[in-house]
Amino acid sequence: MKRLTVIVGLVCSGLVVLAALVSLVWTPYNPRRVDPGHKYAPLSWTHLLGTDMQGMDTLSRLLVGAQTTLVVGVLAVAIAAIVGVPLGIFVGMGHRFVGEVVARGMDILFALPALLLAILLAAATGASVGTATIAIGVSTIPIFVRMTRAATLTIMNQDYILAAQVSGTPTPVIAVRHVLPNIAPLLGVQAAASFSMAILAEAGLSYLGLSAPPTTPTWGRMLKDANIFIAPTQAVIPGIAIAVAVLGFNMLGDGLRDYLDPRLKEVR
Amino acid sequence: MTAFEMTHVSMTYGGRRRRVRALDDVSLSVEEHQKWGIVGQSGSGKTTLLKILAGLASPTSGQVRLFGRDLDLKSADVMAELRSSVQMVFQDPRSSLNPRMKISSIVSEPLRSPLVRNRPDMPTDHAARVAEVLRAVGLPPDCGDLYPHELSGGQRQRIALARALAPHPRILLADEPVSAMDVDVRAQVLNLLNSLVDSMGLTLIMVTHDLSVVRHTCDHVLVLNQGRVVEWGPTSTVMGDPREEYTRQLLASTIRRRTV
Amino acid sequence: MTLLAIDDLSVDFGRHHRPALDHVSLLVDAGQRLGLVGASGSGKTVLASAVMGLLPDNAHLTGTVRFQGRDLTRLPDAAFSRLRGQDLTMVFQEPMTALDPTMKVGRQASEVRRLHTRCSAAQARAKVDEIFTRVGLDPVSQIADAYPHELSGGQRQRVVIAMAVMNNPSLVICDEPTTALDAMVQATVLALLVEELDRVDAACLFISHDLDVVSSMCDDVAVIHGGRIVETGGVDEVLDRPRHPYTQGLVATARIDAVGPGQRLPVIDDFSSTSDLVQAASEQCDTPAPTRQDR
Repeated sequence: MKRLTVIVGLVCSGLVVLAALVSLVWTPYNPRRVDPGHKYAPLSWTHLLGTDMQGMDTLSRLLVGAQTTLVVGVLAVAIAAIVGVPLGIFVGMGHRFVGEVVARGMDILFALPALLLAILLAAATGASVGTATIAIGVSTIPIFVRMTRAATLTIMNQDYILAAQVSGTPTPVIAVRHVLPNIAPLLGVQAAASFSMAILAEAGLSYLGLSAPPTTPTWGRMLKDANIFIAPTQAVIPGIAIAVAVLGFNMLGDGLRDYLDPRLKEVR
Repeated sequence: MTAFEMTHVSMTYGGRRRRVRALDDVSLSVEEHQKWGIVGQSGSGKTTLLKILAGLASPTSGQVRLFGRDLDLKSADVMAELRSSVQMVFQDPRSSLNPRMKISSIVSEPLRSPLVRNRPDMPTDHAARVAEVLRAVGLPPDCGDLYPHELSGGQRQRIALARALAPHPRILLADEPVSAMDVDVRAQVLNLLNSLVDSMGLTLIMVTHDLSVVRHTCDHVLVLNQGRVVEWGPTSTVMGDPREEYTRQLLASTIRRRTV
Repeated sequence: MTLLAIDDLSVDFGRHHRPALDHVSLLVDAGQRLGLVGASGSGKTVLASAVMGLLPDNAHLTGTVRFQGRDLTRLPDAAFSRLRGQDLTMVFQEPMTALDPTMKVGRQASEVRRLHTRCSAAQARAKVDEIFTRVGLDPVSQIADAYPHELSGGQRQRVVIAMAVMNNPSLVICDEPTTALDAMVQATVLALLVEELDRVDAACLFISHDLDVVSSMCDDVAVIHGGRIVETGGVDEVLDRPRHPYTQGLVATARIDAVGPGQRLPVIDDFSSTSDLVQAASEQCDTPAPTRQDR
C-alpha cells in the first residue's frame, strides 16, 4: 500500500517534471502564437489537444505551463521554508516568552490569506507570477514555523540534546547537527504538501487574474480563458493537469516520509 | 581534593501558582576518586541534582563548587573547565545517541566543542582518540562508521560511555546507566564502568534507584526523598546500619528471592 | 486442569527474518502462576501478543493456542473481543499508554465492566468503587474522577490491575508490569497483584526479565531464549539447579548481591559452553564485532 502511494506519486509528479523538461527544448507550436483562424479547434492530429479561444495550441501551453507550475511551487516552498524553518527551530529551542511573541505573530500572518496578500501586491506592483509566488510563499510561512516548532520541541526532549550540552556544544551547532537532521523527514513531507498547495493556490490566483498576465501560458490562466459552454475540453485539460500535479506531490511526500527515516528500517 | 561541593542548594520549578521544590537545602561534598550513589524514588530530585552538577541547570539558591571554584555558568573559563572535566552517561542510549549521526561523530562531539577545543590537555587527533576510547569500551574501532540503530542495546551504552570518556574527564556523572537493561547487559556495562572508573581514576556520581547496583559499585551513598537529604555516608554504613526509617523502608522494598 | 495450552507455536515477521517464536509449547493450569523469563528480543512479548491475539498484520503464525479448549488462533475477531477483558485480560508494562489519556479512569474501568456484563451504569460504578477501594486507590471518588496523567505511576498501575481483575478472569497476562515503577512502589504493586490473583482465583502468565520478581510471584518458571523455551520447571528447582547454560548464566548475572563490591560480575557468555548457544547469543545479545546490517 505504501509502495503504491510512492509509485503513483512518482509517476504523477514525474509527468509534470517531464512536461516541463520537454517544453524547454520542444513544443508542437509556439505557445504564444495567436491564430485567429483556428479558434476552438477540436482535438486532432494537427492540434492534439485542440486550441483555445485565440487559436493558441493547448498542448504547447500545457507543457510550458508545467514550467510555471514547478517554478512557483519550488520558490513558494523555498520562501516558506527558508524563513519558517529557522524561525521554528529558534522558537522551539529558545525562550518561552520569545516563543509566545513569535507564535502570536504567526497567528496574525495566518489570518492573512494568500489571496489577500496577492491582491495587495498586485495593487502595488501589478499582477505577475512573481507577486503570486511571494504571496503564496509568505502565507505558507506560519505553517512551517508551527510544524518546525512542534517537531523541535519533541527533539529537545531527547537525551542526545542534553549530551551535546554536556559536551559543550554551542546552541547553534546543536540546532544544525542534532535538531535539523532529525526533523528533516517531517520537513520533507510538509514541503511536498505545501508544494501541492502552492500549485493549487497559483492556479486559483491565475484564474482570478492575480498572477500571470494574459497570454502567459499557465494552467490557471488556461482554466480562466476556457469557455466551458463552447469548448468544455479546454477547461477540463488544465483541470486534469492541476489535479495530477497536486495529487502526485502529495502522495510523493507521504510515501517519502517512510523512506527517509533510518529508524524505520530497524527491524523488530 | 574536593571534586564537587554543594552547600544549601535548593531548586524550585514552576510558576507562581504551582511551585515544585525539586531540591530542598541539599549539601554534599564529593572528594576526588570517590564513587557516589545518589538514591531515591522518582520525584526525589536525584535527576535535578545531577543536572545542576552537569551545569545544565542553575540552582534557585545555594552554592556549587567544582574543584574549589564557583560553578558560574556564565563564566567561559569555568564552563571550559566544567565541559572538559565533567561528562555524563544517560539512562537510555536510544535517546542519548543521535540516530542520524555516525558513531565516530557521536564519540568525537565533546572534543569538537569550541569551549574545550583549544585546551592543552585535549587530544588533537580526534580520529585516534575515538579509536582509543572505542577500544577502551570493548568495541572494534571500525564500528565508527555505523549508526546507533545498527548496534545492540549494550553496545549503544558502550558508545555513550566512550563519548563521555573522549575528552579525558575527571568526573563521570551517570543517570540510571543500567536501569533499562537486561540482567546480562547490565552486568557487562557495570563491569566495564567499574573497570574504567578504577583504571582511569575517575570520580563517579551515579543516580539510581537500584540499591544492589549502588552496593556493588559505589563507596558512598546519598539517600534523597522529596528533594531532601535523608541520609548519607559510606555505603557499608548507610546500607548496613541505616539510621533513618526511610532508608530502612527503601532497603526492605528490594525484591529478593522468596525463601521457602 | 489445563487452562492455556500453547502447542508448537511459531511466529515470524516475514520469511527473511529469524522466527520470533520457534516451536514453543507451554501449559498453564487453572490458578497456576507461570513466570516467563527472558532478555529483550527473546520473544516473550511476542508470545503474550500471540495469546492475546494482538500480533501485527505482518506476523505469520503456525501452531495452536488453546484457551479453555478453544483454539485462539482460529477464533473470529468478534468472539476474541468478548473473551478479552472478560476471561482473558492483560496488564501492560507502561500503564500510561495502556490507559486512554482523554478519559477519566473511573469511566474507563466501568466501561470494561459494562462491555462484558449486563448491568446499569450505577451498578458498574459501584463495582468500580468496590475494586478501586480494594486495590488501595484512596480516596476512591477523587481518583475515579482523575485523568491518567493526574495519577502517579503506581496509582495508574493499580487502576490497570483493577480493570484486569474486575470481571473475574481465569487468566491474566502480565507483561513486565512493574518494570517502569520505583523499587518501593514495585514491591507494593506486586503484593497487590498476588492478592488480587488469589482472590479471583485467576491463573497468571507473568512475563519479566527480572528473576527476583518472578520468583517472588510465581510457582513455576519457563526460560525463553532466542524464541525457544530452553528450560521449564518449579521456580526453586530452576533457580537453584539450572540445567541449561543460558539459565545458569541468567541466574548468575542477576545476583549482583552475591559478588563483592567492585568485583567482576559474571555474564552469560561465561556460561555458554555449547557452540549453539554462542551463536544464539551473538545474534541476540552483544556481538563482539558488529557487522553492518542490510540497509
